[in-house]
Amino acid sequence: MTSTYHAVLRAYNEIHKGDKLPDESTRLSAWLTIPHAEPVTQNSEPLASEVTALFHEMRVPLLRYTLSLGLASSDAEDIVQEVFLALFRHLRDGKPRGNLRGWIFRVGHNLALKRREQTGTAAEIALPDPAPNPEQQLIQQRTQARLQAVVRSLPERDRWCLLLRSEGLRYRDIAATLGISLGSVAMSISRSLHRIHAARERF
Amino acid sequence: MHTSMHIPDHELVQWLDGELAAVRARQVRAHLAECPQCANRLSEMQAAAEAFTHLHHDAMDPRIDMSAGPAAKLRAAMAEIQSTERGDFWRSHRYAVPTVAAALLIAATVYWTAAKPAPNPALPNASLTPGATRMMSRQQVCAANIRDDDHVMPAHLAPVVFRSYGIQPKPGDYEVDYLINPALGGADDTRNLWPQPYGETIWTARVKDALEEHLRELVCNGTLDLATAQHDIASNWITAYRKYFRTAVPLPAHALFMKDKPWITPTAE
Repeated sequence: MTSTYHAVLRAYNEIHKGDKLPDESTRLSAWLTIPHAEPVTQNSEPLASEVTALFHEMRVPLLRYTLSLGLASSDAEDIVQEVFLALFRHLRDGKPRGNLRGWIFRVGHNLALKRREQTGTAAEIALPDPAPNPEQQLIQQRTQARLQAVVRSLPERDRWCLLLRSEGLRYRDIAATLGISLGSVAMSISRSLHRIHAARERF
Repeated sequence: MHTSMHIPDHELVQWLDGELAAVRARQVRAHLAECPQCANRLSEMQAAAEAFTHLHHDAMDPRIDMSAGPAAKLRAAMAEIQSTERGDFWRSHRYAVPTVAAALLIAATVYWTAAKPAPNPALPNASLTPGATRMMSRQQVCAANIRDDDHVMPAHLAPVVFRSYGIQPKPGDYEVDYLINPALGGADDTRNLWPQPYGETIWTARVKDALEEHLRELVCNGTLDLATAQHDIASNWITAYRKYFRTAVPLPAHALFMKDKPWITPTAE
C-alpha cells in the first residue's frame, strides 16, 4: 500500500517536475485527486469480449430453445440480448462464473416464459421451411410431421427437458433450469424418447 | 448381480449422455456387452434422441438471423452500459474502494506521524503509565493527614520506570513522578509512575502539585468525588488543570513556585 502511495507520488512528481516543490499536504491531496477511473474501467473491455465470445457460442442454441417455447423471432432475439446483457452485468459485478452455460439457459428460460405470458403466444413446434430438394422434402415432411405430433403431445416439462438436452445441456443444468431433480430429468428424457421411438416404429 | 439385470430406460439414457456415475457406468458397459436386448434398446433411444434433435434444429435454424447484426447490437449495448456507468465512481469502483481507503489510511497515517508534534514531555505515555490507585475511600484519603512530601517512593521502582520508557537519565534531568499522587489515592506502581523531565515545558511538576492539592481539597470538601478526580488527573493532568483552575496556562503563583521548596497548599483560587 505504502509503495502504491510512493509510486503514485513519484508519478505525480514526474508530471510536475518543473513546478514549485509541493509540501507534504499538497502532495497528499494531489494523490487524492489523481483520477483512478481510467485503469479500472478498461477492465470492462476484456469482459465485453468474453461475453461476446460466449454470445457467438451460445446464441444459436439459446435462440432455438426460446423459439421452441413459442416466442416470435423478434421476441426470442430480444430475450437473448437481454440474457447476455444480464450476463455482462453478472460478471462485471464479480458474481459466480462457474457453469455459465447453465446460467445462460436458466435466465433465458425464465425470461422467455415471462415474455410468453405477456405476449400471450402459445408454445408450438414450428414447421421447418421447405427443403431445397423436393424428394427429400417429401420424406422429411412426413417424418417430421409424425415427430411433431408426438412432441406436441408431450407434457411441456418433458418437452423442455428434451429441448435442453438437444442443446447440449448437462442434466444438472437442465434440473437447475427447470427446478426439478436430477432423477426427474433422466426419467423425463427416457419417457419422451420411448414415445418418440414408438411413434417412429409405428410407421 | 447388477450386470445380469436389464438396464432400465432412464439409466440407458444417462449412459448415452455420459451422466452415470463411474461405478455404475462400468456395470452398464459390462451388461451392454453381453445383453443384445439392452444394447438394442439403447440404440433405439439414441435414434429417437437424434431424430428429435434434427427435428428441433431443422425447425428452428431457418428462423435464426445469422448476420453479424445481433452480435453488433450486444456490443453496442454493453458499451452503453459501460459509458453510462463510467462516471459513477462509487458503483463501478466499489471493489477498488476498500483498497483505496486502506491506502489512504496508511498515507494519512504516514503524513500524520511525520507532521505530529513531539509528545508533550509533561504528559506520560498513556500505555506505559495509565495511572493506578490504591483501594482507598474518600474518607481514608481525607481523614489521614497524608501529604505527598511525606510519601517516599520505593527506590527500586525508578529504574524500572526509566527502563520502560527507554531512558538512561543523567542526574537531575528527570524526576519520577506519580501520575495520581499518593495523597489522592495513587499507588506505588510502575503504571502510576513516569519520568517527568525538568525545564522543557511550562507544565512542570510544581504546576501539577498545585492541581493535586486542589483536587484533594475539592474531594474532601465534597464538591468532587474521588474517582472523578483520579480519572481526570490520570487521563490528562494538563486538561484537568485547565478545567479545575479555569485557565489555559499555569497560574503565575504555580509556575514560579520553586521546585526545591516543599509544596504547601495555598488557597488556589
